[in-house]
Amino acid sequence: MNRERQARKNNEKIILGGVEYQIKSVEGYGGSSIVYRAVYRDELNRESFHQVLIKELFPYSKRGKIWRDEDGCIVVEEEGKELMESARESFVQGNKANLELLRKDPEQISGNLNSFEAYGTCYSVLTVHGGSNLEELISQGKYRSLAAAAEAMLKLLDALECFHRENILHLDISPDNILMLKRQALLIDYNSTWSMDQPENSKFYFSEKAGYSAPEIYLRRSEEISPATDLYSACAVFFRMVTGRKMDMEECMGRGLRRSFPKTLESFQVQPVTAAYKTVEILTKGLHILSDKRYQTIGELRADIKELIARIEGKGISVSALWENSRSAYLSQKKPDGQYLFREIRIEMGGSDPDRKDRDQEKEEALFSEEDCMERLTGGAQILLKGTGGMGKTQYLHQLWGEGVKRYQPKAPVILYIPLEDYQQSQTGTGYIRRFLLKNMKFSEETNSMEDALHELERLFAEAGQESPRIILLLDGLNEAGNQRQNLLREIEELSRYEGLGILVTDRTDSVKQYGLAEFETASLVPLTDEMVKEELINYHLECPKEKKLQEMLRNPMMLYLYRSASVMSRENGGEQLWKTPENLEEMVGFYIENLQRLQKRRDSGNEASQLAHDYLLEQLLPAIAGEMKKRKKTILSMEELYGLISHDYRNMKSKGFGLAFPKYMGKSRLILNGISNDREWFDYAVSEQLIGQMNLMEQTAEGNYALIHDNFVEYLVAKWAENQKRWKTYQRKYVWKRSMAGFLAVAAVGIGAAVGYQKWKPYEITISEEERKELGSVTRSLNGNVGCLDGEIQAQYRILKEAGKEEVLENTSSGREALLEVIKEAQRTVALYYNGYYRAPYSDGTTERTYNYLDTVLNIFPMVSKETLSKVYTEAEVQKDNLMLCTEFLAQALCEEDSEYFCVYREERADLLEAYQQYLEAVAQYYYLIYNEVYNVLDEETQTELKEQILNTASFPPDGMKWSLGSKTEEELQDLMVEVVEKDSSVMKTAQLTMARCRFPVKEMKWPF
Amino acid sequence: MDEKKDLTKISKNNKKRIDKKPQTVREVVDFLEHEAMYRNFPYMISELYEGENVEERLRKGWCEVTGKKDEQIRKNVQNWLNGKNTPHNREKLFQICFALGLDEEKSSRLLGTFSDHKIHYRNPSELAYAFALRTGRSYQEAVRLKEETLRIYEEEIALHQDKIRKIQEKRQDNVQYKVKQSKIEEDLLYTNRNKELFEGVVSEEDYFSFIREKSVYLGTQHETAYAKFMELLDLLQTGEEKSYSMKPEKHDNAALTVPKDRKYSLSQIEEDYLRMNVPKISENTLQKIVSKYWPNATMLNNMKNRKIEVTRKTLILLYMATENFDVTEKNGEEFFYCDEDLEPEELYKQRCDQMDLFLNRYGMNPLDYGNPFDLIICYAMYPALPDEEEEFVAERIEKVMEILYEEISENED
Repeated sequence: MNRERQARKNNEKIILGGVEYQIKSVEGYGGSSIVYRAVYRDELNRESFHQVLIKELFPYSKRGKIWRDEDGCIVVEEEGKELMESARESFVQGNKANLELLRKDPEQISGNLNSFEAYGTCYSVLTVHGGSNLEELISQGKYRSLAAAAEAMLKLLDALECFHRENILHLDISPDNILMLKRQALLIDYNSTWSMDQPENSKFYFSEKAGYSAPEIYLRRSEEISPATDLYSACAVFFRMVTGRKMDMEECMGRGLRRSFPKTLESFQVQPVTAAYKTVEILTKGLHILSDKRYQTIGELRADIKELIARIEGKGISVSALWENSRSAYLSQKKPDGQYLFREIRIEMGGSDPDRKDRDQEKEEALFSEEDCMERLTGGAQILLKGTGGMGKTQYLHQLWGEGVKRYQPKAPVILYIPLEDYQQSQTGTGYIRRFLLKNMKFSEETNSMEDALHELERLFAEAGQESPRIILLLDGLNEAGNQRQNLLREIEELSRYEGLGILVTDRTDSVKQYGLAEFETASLVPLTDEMVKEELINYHLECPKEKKLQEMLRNPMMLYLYRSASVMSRENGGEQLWKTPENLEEMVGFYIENLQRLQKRRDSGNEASQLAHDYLLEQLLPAIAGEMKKRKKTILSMEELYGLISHDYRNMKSKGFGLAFPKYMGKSRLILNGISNDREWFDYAVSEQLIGQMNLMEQTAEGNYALIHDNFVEYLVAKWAENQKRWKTYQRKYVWKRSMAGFLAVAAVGIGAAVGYQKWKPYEITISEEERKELGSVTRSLNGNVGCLDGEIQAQYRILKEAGKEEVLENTSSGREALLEVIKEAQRTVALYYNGYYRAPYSDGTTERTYNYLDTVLNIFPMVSKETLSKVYTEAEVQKDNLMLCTEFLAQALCEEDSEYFCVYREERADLLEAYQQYLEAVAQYYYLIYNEVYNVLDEETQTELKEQILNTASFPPDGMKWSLGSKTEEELQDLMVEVVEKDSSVMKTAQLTMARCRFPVKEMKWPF
Repeated sequence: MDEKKDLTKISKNNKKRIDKKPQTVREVVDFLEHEAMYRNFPYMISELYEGENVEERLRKGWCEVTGKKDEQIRKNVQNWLNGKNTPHNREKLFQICFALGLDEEKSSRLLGTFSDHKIHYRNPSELAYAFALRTGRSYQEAVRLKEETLRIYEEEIALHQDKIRKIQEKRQDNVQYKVKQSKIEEDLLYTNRNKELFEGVVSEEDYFSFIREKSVYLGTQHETAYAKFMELLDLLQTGEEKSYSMKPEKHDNAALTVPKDRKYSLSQIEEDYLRMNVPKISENTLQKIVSKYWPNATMLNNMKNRKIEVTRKTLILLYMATENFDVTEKNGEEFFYCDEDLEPEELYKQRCDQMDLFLNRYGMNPLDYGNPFDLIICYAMYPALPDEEEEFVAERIEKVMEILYEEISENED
């Protein structure tokens, strides 16, 4: 007799509870049982089978004291009885626990269909759930990613929860006892379950599993067994997934996990570093040797796993999310040129009011290194760092910022950098800093609105320094925040009241303390020492300048940078010293830019187009940008503002007037714009590629606005711009007026020869009766009346245009505005009162006062006339009247009413408006002229004569002002011209519409012939 | 079997006192000398022997075991029972167990209390004694069983030299840390597992079958303990990077700077790391208990060559010498890890549990608050309080020993 433990054979049949089961295969062996896959036949559908698992109690006896006989029954010899009894007790207890839990939570517990005593032992028939156990899946390479492992943990905790809810501990959690189904995990093998409700003196059977059992199991301390024991094992499973291996004995023994998580671990790759740290935090806590330092409840562990998932997905408002954002922002910043020079700051301690004359409150000053400063901020200090432009405040803040985001440490303060220059463009007014911080954060399910997010952020601020790490805000450039910054100041003061927040804000002076930031300490950057300056210059093989004044200037880092860079460029340019030694910042900037220009030229040698382009950018465009900033009293321009300027510049560059003003560029615009087909491409080239990318003279702010690389450049560039403006003005005025005149008198080759081709088209021969002739008279009169009407409307607008083109209006003087407004109102009155009689569509539908059917009459007499075209002759005047009212109303606001949101302050804007309007009027005139031509061509001679006379007497369609004479085009030619003027995308009318839209005319409200 | 932490009166009292902080070294030594209660031999006998008149029973049993007359052994027994002498020799302890008719489990406890470990279930001789105690046999029968066991054992060893060589190679691999511990456990039937397998042996026939079958895996040594001993010794001898010396001043010329081709000698190891001011002679009982089997170079060498078992005391001292209690490991950029903020009491408990796990792992008894050496170890493991100066664990042990043995030192001077 073979005394070894033998499983039942495949296809063997056993009967349990009257049901015959056929064994298909062995599913697995345990220390005290064997599990089989089996089937049994369905009683109704006899050809179908149910699949089950059958667990057979069959403890392994090394001495062969428990064995199977020929009949398949289990035989237990005397010496094996104790082992069998002990295993049976565990089997029954586990079965009981399974059934209890199944009753209460059937979805979460593996199924147990029935249990029996048979064949000398016990059997349980279990449901087949499908799925695979976690150990198999991990071995196959699943759950390698941190996200997948975290999701698996949530499922495991859900499965475990139904045990703990019933005060039952599983006590044998390991990957091979976890079945992973599609949407859930199931814990199997209940042999080690333990009810916490059992009496204290109950016998406890310890079951160790290397790598998963808690220390109290190894040490046989039953009094320490608790839910934390199960949670230890759950975390050990997590460890397995994260590291790809189970804990070794040294780690289990409490040696610790200091060397268990190398940064090269696969599951940490491509993950936020805060997620990696969170994982390590969870495992360190969950696998603590002391049970009371571990997770005590499933809820606690679940919350941390969810926090981990949030960190992986970058969602949620948390300190770690703030850190990740801060780090991303830092890494995306352009690094400054040259080596950072370590600085000290001098802090005035005590006596915050700069005007205070109290001698007892003398300020003490102390020097602080960067580390000291950071320590101070960590302690909740509020510091106002003042310094003139170029002293290196921004670079200092960047240095502190960089140190803070270099490495994530869960308890270290979180350093957040907020540039304040974009505040100028901020539409929100309040909460600028908070909204900036939330800008790139992803909301979670719990925080799905800005309001919730702000609330969460407030909570973080409140908890900083207590339950959470401290937060340090580096606010850069209070002086660049614009003039209306009371809300910003208020916000800074609010934030300074949080104990866990340290704030460092920079400004050029401390004048703000006269009315705000009273509690802030004032600090200033210590200028560079002479030794530092010398060392920096030596690094670039430059000699220290001999002039004392210049030496002193170079203690300002910006000056040093400009001087150093310009000198290096000068050296590269051939070492020519063409200028006198700079004596102030403006000259230094000039020194720099001019050397840069020279260097560019040298690099562009042989490429005239590039040389010209770079010259243009540095001599014209960049100063214009600075000028625009100056006019708007801001240090940044929005995308729209800059685009508008660039667009204007693009057109200007091609204009004759510009060439006249700046002969260097006369006829060269095509060369400069080689390969650039529109203003958008010019923007990309000039701004993005060259000024920002290549020459590093501009930058894009955090909010997507545009600024000069340093506002120290403004003065020099504005001076350049002013010079340019002076030259330009002289030509511009003449140019604008000439253009408006040319609009009336379109230069055409056919001017003189107009009369020659006048009778190109002969009217077709028709016979008109006397009666019809009488009717036609009225029609003709109304037709002519409408022509006159339209002409009057167009001319009224030209009068407005003329008035608006005057210098006083362009220069935005009050007298100019008043006069223009008067002209506009007059035009509106005239059009409203006078031109309302002739343009009602005379249909016999009862909708107009006139019921005489003019159109039908004409159509009856002249069947070749297009009804649609004819009706336009009668309706367009009304259309024009409506459009006129809209446009003139807009012009009044834009040019005359200072309080209006449309009011244009600057000359260029005003000029652009007029140009757009002029384009529109020209297009309108061309369009109507085409319509008249269409109608004219199909009338009889007598009617033509009358119409022609009317048209020739208008100011809008003068014969020497039109490109071709009335009646000189065929129908087909007229159709082609209509396409050119109205229909195609680049038609005159559509171009006019676009131009007007850019100038914010109410184009949507206007009526258009397309 | 559920082994709860010993909460006898002795342990409770001692634990409460030794855990108390702050206390100076002198206060600790005073406690050890005058106040601490030890689980001495009479106490243990009274705990384990449930019959009446233990002295009479012991004398009678001892006579049966040794074959000596009552007059010859009376004084010895009296000295044991009045605490004057304590038997530590394992053979003697087994004999006492047979003399008193103790069962296997109680015998194991007695052995565990007065020697390094309980019954060693991979030692063929002790397997014989265990079986004899289990089945209620006499000492003489146990001796006969032992002889037969050893005969079978040697026979099997001779027959299976190849297999033994392979096992030894695997052991060697283990010593060289190439084979994972878990694999060794599976393959080589280490002591704990052997014990579990042996639990089912109840008949003589089964017993001899077991011996025959498992002879090639048996040995007198605790394999895991030996492997760990070699690992820790190697660490001190070769000064590998991860060896964080507890004596920073020794870094200059000691293990960490030892060239690879040179090893620290065992004498140097004894002097620098293990001596800890414990003299080679002792005078009073406490001193004797503490210094008994204190490792010296000779003992280390014998353990290394497997001539004697690795003692619990040696393993603990090596653990204390190499375990990095106070120095923060500099993981640098390589690892993610979490710093913990534990209160001193928590850190202390953690260290004690770590020690217990360590000892459990290598088949040794856990920390015993009734044992003066263990009490000193506990005191040494207590972390410095916030206002205290940090000192290394070994330094603290040295300070205790200095005061404990100061009379001897003065006499020597």
